[in-house]
Amino acid sequence: MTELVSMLVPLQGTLPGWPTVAQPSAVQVLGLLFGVPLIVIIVISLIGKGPELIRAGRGEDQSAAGEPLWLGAAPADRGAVTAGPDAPAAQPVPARAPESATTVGGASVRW
Amino acid sequence: MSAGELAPASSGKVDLTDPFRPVHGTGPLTPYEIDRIERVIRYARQNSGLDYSVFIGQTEPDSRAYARRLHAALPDPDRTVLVFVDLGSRVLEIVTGVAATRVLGDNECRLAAATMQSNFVAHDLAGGLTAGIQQLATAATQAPTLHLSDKPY
Repeated sequence: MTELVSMLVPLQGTLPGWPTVAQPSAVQVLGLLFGVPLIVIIVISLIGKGPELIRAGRGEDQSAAGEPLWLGAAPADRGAVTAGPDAPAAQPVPARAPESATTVGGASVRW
Repeated sequence: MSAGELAPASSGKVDLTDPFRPVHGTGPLTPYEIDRIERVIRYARQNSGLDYSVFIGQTEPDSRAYARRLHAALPDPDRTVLVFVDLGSRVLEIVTGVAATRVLGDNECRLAAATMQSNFVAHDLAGGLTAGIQQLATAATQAPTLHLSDKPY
């Protein structure tokens, strides 16, 4: 095979003048084509997801971000709040007198 | 219920709409931020004599009425200031009790709310709560007067 022909023909087998190379087995070819990319994908995924997995292992996953949280004084009367505005009369009523609701102060903002 | 209290793994089905259920994890705050806010609440209580409560959760359509109901359910609502934040609806409500209103007016609450609002816009929840509670406590703190105090100066 001349130099010109070797440039046109796909390289297969051993080039003339080069030491003989053993043909890889099917398992080696599959490992090279699929195994190595798979390992690289797994490593990159672990690097990307690692911190999230560690947080989830500590119970700090993102699903907790939307959960209610009390800080400071917490209410003792649960039914008064969870019953909703249309609570029937049988539901526990708030501890406050009705007229006191008009005397509370404060502020409201939205952002 | 203290902040960050963990529910047992075998607690069964939990009503997710119940704001008083035990909290898994720390909500939108990190443990460090929770510790920081609780410290600020402690200092604010010591300095102003008022109780402070922070609730971060989902509101109802009438957020003011819901915040008032939350406030009314607190152990000592007359002397408690409730800061209610709904991050989803971007609502901040400050509710002061009857006794708290005497030392903490609505104007001071509006100023503190504006401070918190500016932090919340920048996605700084802990910073906003910390600054707002400090501002509320500063406004509610009454300067000692010599003729009313028994303490020697």
